Amino acid sequence: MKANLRSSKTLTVALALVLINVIVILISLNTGSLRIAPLEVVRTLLGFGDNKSSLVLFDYRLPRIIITMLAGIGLGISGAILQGVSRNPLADPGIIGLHAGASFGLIMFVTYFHSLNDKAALLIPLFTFIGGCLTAFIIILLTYDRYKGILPIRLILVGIAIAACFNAITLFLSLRLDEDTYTFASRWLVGNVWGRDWIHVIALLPWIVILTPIGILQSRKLDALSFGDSTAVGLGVSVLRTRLSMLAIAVALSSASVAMVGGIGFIGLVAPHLARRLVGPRHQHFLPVAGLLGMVILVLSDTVGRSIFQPNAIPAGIVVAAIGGPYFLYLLTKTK
Amino acid sequence: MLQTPHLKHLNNRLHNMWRLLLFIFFLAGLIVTLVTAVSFGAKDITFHHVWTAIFNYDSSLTEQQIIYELRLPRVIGAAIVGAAFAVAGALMQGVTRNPLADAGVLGINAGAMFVVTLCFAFVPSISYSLLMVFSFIGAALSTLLIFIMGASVPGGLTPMRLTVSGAVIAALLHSLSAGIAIYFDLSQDLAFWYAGGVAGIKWDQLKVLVPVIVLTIIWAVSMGRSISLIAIGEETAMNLGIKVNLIKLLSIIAAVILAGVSVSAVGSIGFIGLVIPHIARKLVGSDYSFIIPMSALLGAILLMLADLGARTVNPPRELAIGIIVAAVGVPFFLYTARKVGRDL
Amino acid sequence: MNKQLLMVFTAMLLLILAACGQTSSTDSKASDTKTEKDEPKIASLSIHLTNDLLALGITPVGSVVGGELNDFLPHVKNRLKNSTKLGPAKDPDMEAVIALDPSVIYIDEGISGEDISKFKDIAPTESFNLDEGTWRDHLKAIGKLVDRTQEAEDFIADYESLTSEVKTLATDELGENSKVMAIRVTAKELRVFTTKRPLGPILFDDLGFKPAAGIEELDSTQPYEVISQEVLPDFDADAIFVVVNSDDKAQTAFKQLEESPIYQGLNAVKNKHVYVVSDQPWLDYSALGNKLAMEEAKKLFSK
Repeated sequence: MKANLRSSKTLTVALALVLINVIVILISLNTGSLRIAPLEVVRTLLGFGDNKSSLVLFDYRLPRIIITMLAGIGLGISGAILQGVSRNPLADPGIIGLHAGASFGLIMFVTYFHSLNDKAALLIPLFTFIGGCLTAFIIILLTYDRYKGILPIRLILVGIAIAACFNAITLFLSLRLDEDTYTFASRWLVGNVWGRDWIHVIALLPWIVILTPIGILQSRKLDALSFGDSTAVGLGVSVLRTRLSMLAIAVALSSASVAMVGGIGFIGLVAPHLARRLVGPRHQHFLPVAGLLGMVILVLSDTVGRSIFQPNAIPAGIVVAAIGGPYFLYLLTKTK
Repeated sequence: MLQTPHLKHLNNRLHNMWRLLLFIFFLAGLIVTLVTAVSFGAKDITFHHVWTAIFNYDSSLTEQQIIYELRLPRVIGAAIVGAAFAVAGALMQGVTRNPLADAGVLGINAGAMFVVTLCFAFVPSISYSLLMVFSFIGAALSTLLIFIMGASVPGGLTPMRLTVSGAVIAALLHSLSAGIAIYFDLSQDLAFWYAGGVAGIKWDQLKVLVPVIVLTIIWAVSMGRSISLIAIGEETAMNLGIKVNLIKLLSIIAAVILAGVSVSAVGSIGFIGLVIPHIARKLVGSDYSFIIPMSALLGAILLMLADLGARTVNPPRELAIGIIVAAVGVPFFLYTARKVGRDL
Repeated sequence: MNKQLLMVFTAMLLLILAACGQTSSTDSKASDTKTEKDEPKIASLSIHLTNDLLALGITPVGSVVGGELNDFLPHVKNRLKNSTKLGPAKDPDMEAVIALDPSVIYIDEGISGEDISKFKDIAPTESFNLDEGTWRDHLKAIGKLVDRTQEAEDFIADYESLTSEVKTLATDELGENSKVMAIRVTAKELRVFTTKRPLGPILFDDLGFKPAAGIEELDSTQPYEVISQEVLPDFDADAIFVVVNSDDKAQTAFKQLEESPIYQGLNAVKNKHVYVVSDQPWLDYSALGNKLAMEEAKKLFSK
């Protein structure tokens, strides 16, 4: 009985979030130098708009918003998985240093390919994924203890320091390239939605669309892990393999997302927490909700950053930090 | 080995002699590094000129002017700020019992930077001394924030909670600083600040910076014994009559002063406070009355070398010093973290 | 409780949505009543091309802004009062360009060349390579496009006569074959200008000054190089042009430079052959920019 109640609650929440998302997206499609009324937006999307609106919508706003949506989902779900895998409620791909590793991968890409906008852009998430894996590998190396596993406290502490390391390396490498790259890298580190062409959408899409369902399908295994390793083994879950594969998925999701929107932290932290408070602790419920929440947060932050602070657009990452930071600090006073 | 009182006495004296030797060695190293750092730069200047510039300054010779006006201030600045950051890190690590504590990691630098950014935005022509005061206020505020948060929770401030709050506050303040910089179009000036630079240090700044930092370090050393006992265990210290909370407060104030004024001079340079205290600890043991001065020496040497590197890697362009320190600190840090992570 | 929160949130969003809807519809009404103009509606994606257009007496309907200032250049600001700002040149606001509905777009090949197809989707686009030839060539090319070739020729002729006046004045003051360098002080760097635009052509080609020792050895694909104060005396210049931004930070940086004994020991400083100019119009490599700079030069050498 209770399970059914939970499921229907999840459904309600999910639907509400989808609705909110649609509204937020419509508002976002509405903002920009060219004013398009919401009804006009809908007409244009269906193909009935005039030339100017169509051009603006399809070539400029839609790709950017789709990227923001996808990245929001990716970050939300990645954070949720990370928290489950490390049994650490404070784990977030940014704090742990995965974003910093991804930025390193991005700079490697720029060093080799020079341009971020041509066909080679399809490979960007691959490079950031490798960077993220590299960081994850180093972190595990430094924190894994044969007897105690990975202590949550160690993970956070080492992750923070690793993040600082890789951020510095990235800035250093970007300085050696040229001034424009340096500016790009420093804005990236703050969290700046720079991906805006359809090619970037196509680069990001497969990663999110394929990995998200896979992650959700593993919900039961993630639930088992959260009960403790010995319980999980008792439930028939191969702990090490699940951990590693889920970690890989989390790294892939977050690396691909930040590849296109910059190192935005806090979403992977706040979205899962909120989701859990809304629909309960079972992964099959709160994982998708975390994704939806991530989407709402990111799209909203990006829109706010672009519209309220005219004429200078504030990068989305700053808005997210301004909201997410205090909320996280509040969370911190509540946990443990 | 059975330690009879006689042998123990000898053992202690041996240790003390060894420590003294180390101090003399590194002090000499400091002077050598200073002279080396001053000898190199965009223009080739013979050692002879360097020597005479320091001891027999003749202001009409261009080469000597270069040494005196351009290089000496920044090298001395690098030394003093390096010492400051290192000691601040040592203090934080001792008092919070967190081996990965550092002014950058704990958000102290970020607080100072944030207020400095606000100053640049609203009072562009602010005087240097006032900027230093504001920078210190910023550092103090962020530290206060962290500790208030910690104190308001049952269970107090575990190292993890402290570090995580620090990191989050640092990230938050960095973002806000960046936001303000973008909104008020300050990016050009601030970009260099963020990565840290000693290039702009002038003699008048040093006139204020050096006494403040030296006095604070001496003050910190005087608390060294108490800090060592706190680092072992707070209850042990309390039983030995140490006013734990008072010492903790004073040490943190000292660390904030050191970090705060340094950030106002050179921007945000992390890693020094993280890495140096560990090296110092390896060399002179776990007594903070030795760790602190040794950290000061090592920090000074490190930053002078980093500044030298920043100037000579790609002349005449200058690489941001914070990045060089990180580049050097990273491999070292990874090695230390592995060991430290095990002990956490 | 959470459900209530969600509902409140949704209601708020709907309200915002409704509000947005209102303002947008009034905007679109206004744009319908715009009348057609005779002149070509030019959108300029380069501040230099904008100034070339202004030199020919044509005001573009929209122009990008200077990166550091985030605004139109001060010497042309009031002439562009009615023009729409299109964002910084390196990252233009494409939506604003679309909203403008220009009849033709001018771009700087060096900055926006890669994105030319995007611009062509909006309107016919002309691309200019600002590194090829001098601003006179660009001016003449634009003149042909907008049918003002005579104005272009006249402008160039005026400039040439102004230049020979200044040349004479300069030689009177500095003597023949004087060696000149140009530097710029920013808050964090000391820069020396190479033989490339914007300062190379006006100083070394138009006014015929000789470059100080070492200038020609600098990387001429870049407009400037960063140097350390230490090597300043090595250039051994007879005259120095110093470009100082009008903002406080740069002014302070320049004052600090002036106080340093190394600076005071330079020949040019001792002989009072230092000419302080503002970054605009000197760094504006365009017809208008150079003309205004040359007029300033005339005043500098007439003192």
